[in-house]
Amino acid sequence: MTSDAHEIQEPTRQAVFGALGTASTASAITQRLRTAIGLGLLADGERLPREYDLAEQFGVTAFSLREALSALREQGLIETKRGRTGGSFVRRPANLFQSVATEQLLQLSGAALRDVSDWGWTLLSATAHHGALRASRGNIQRLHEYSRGIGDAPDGATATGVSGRFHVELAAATQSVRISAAQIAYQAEFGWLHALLLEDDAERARLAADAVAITRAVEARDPGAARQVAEASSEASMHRILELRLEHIAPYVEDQQ
Amino acid sequence: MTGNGGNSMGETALDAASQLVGVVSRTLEPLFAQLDRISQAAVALAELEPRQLATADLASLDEVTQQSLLQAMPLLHGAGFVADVDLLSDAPRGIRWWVTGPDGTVARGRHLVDLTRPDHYEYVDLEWFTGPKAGESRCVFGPYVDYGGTNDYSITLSVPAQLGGRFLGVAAADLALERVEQVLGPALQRVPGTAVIANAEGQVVLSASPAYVVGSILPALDESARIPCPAIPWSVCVTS
Repeated sequence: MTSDAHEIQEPTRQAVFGALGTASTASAITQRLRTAIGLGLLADGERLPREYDLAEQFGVTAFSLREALSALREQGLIETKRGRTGGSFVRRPANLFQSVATEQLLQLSGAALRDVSDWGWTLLSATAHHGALRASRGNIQRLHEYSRGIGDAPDGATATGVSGRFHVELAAATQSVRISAAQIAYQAEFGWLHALLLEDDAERARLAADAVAITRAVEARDPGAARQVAEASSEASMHRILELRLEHIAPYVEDQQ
Repeated sequence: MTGNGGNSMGETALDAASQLVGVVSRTLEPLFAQLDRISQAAVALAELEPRQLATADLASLDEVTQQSLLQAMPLLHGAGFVADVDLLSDAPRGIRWWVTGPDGTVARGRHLVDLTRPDHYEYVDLEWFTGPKAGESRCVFGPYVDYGGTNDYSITLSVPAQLGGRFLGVAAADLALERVEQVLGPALQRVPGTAVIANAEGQVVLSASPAYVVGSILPALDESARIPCPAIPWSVCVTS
């Protein structure tokens, strides 16, 4: 219960707001912020840093920044209020996620996706194992609640929120600060991949059942069983994500011809 | 970590374990005394103020909280008052918190409790809050990874602030784990055989055995191998 929390997505935030490098144009800023909003890296209602600070962080002129913000405003992705409590606030339309996430999926190579999935596999397997040995009653109670919540969620976005909490709770159950920090960073950076799966009803049912099975193994203090479910679940997720990418690449390749 | 039948502990092990229990009491009792001061200050504040308290009123707890932290200094690294959901007129949550700095000074610790913010700190379901709210007179929660906070590995102590039958909130403090280990470690090492300190759930808080690491759940124990610490929900667990 220590203080000054809530900057848990720091590395992701640096990626969102970091200097642009080469093409320092307004459209590059617009694109990056649109992606961050669409993937949920910037939350609905979140206030963007001040224009002056943003321009400095992106390494662009105030003029380019204003042009970018105005484009985002036209797309309905931010809303700017005047006055003391004013600023630019994120507005995240419900239908933005799917298109932005699909674009992102196509930008990652098959090797990069496998690499990300391997890291997710490692984290889930390790958290399931140590969690089974160390989870407190409170951890287990919340794991039950979140794993049920994934299955009960009315839509992909709700399921994604609960699923993120499930993963972080399992990581906290390991009693390891480093593993927890790694899982929080992973969820912040790649939670959208999971979200893409959770948009699909069958996948949501599978992931909910896996979360329930991991929770039961943790409660039974059976690290082997917990790990086994976790690993099989991650492998099925990677398979489906690679499959999704190929499905989207096919029409894209045809368009190019 | 089971004993060998009825007489699982030798005389010396039992003596050393009893001494360790004494060290635990002498270490934690003064910390709870400081928490009681903060709790009493909160009760007095609610009692004296004719209207319902507002967030800004909690500032009058600052002096006693700072004094408490300074007196308990190396062992506590944060302390304060955490309001129940209906205590304050202007907000559904409220935390007035102070932390110690590396140079021995105290400073305000800030928690984002604005429920309209997606990254707010939600405490009403956390065990150090629900325990005292449900009637526990003393709560020692953890060790746990405080992933909603600074992601520290922490133990939180808390006591209820109660005005008549009404629960106002908790006075709480974070224990500096490494300091606890420094203070209790020597007495733990002196216990022959394998000794650990476990919390109310049987989770290892402090260990003098590589087989039972901090944070792990102990296997079911022979009752004779477990000596409860009086008035503190920890036990010393020993096996010869």
